[in-house]
Amino acid sequence: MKLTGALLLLLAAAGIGCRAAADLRNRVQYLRLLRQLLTAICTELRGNLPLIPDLLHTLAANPAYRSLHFLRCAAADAAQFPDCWQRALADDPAPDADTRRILETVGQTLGSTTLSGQLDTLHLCDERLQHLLHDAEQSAAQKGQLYRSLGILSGIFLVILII
Amino acid sequence: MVRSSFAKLLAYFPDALRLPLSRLPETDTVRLMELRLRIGRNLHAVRQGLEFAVLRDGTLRREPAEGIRITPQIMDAVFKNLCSHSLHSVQHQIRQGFVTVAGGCRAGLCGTAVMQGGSIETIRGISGINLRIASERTGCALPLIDRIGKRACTGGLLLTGQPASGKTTLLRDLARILGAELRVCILDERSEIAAVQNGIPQFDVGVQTDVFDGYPKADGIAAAVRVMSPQLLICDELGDADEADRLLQTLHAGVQIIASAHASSIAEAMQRPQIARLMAAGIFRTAVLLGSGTECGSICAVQHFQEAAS
Repeated sequence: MKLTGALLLLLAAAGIGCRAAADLRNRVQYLRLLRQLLTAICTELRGNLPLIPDLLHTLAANPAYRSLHFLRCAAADAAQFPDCWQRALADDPAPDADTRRILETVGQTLGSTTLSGQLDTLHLCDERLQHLLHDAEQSAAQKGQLYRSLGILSGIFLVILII
Repeated sequence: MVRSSFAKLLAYFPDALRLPLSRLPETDTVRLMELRLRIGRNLHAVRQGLEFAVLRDGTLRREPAEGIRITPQIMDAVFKNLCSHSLHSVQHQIRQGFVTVAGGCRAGLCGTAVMQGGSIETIRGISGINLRIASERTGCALPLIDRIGKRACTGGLLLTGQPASGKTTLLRDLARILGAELRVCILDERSEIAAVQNGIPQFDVGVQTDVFDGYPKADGIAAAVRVMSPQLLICDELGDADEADRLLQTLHAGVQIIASAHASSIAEAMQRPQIARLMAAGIFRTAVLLGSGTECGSICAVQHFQEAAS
């Protein structure tokens, strides 16, 4: 009984460590996806000069962006752009504060000025995302391993304490 | 039957304007020709050439005590809505001073020109918007056809008149009637005649009619003749040399033209160099002058050029 409890504690602690490492990896994936989205927006704007509501529908219909909850919500209410973008962002817990600020800037930029003006601002947003991605990748590489090790070690420590 | 695009325009207005406008009785809305917004002044509606202030209770008055004041915020919101929050998509139109919106309505823009390389790059600080309300008046071309005959209509017809004299509305109905018998191509540079949305004309422009939507007229004329083998071309607001050159080429392609031009008389239209060239070449054999203001859409004068020449 004691042995089973100790084993469960070990697994739980290791799981918490792995989960924390996975969160870091997920953030990297999320930021990569956002950069991909910005590239797609720039390409569409440059190539087709679409109306922003149409652009949102096109992007939301792309399976690659299915995990971007705010994009789906904004597209569902696209006629109300730009309010729908800000509302969708406010309702989406996925982006952290820095990422949220960048995405808010994207929403304020889309359709508000000339094509070149929008592309310039989107390029700046992409650069900021790139910095965040760089930090997130470093963090995932360094802290990911640490969290996994800490999880397992703390589990072992608890097992030793119990036994 | 009159079908006005007024209701479609309401979606572009913030509540401060939409609510009073939605209270206007239908007897007024079908007769409205324009809505005029000027920053710091009252919202005006134009009916039969006269400007009326729109009051909060949805009535029109010539001399209002308390109208609806257009604030910079309202103007900005209306402008962005008219552009569908997509300035880049309508930049080429803004450079020319207008934006075409749903239902073939045209929003004329007044503001400060931003110049780049000697030409207008965009307009900033929009100070005034003139929304011309498109309307479909089924049968409005019948008096013209009765008066000059269908043969004259399809033998080179120029419609002249002052702005807001009903030229586009008449062209639309001519397309509907003549498009039932002939292959017609409409060159709809500003999307006002057929109001195409997602490839579908929002107005009835005839069963055998093809619409070249958004094409510059000169390019549209060449494309239409090349690919659609039309018997009749219909286009709005002729003016520049390129358009005249292309139309002259169609003379040798066996295609007849119906076009419109701004002028307060037929003689005045003929003084415009490009119109004079087309007349001299025999592109137009009949010219019609439309009335304006309270006589909007009515035929004021008809001139047959072959008869004049003989």
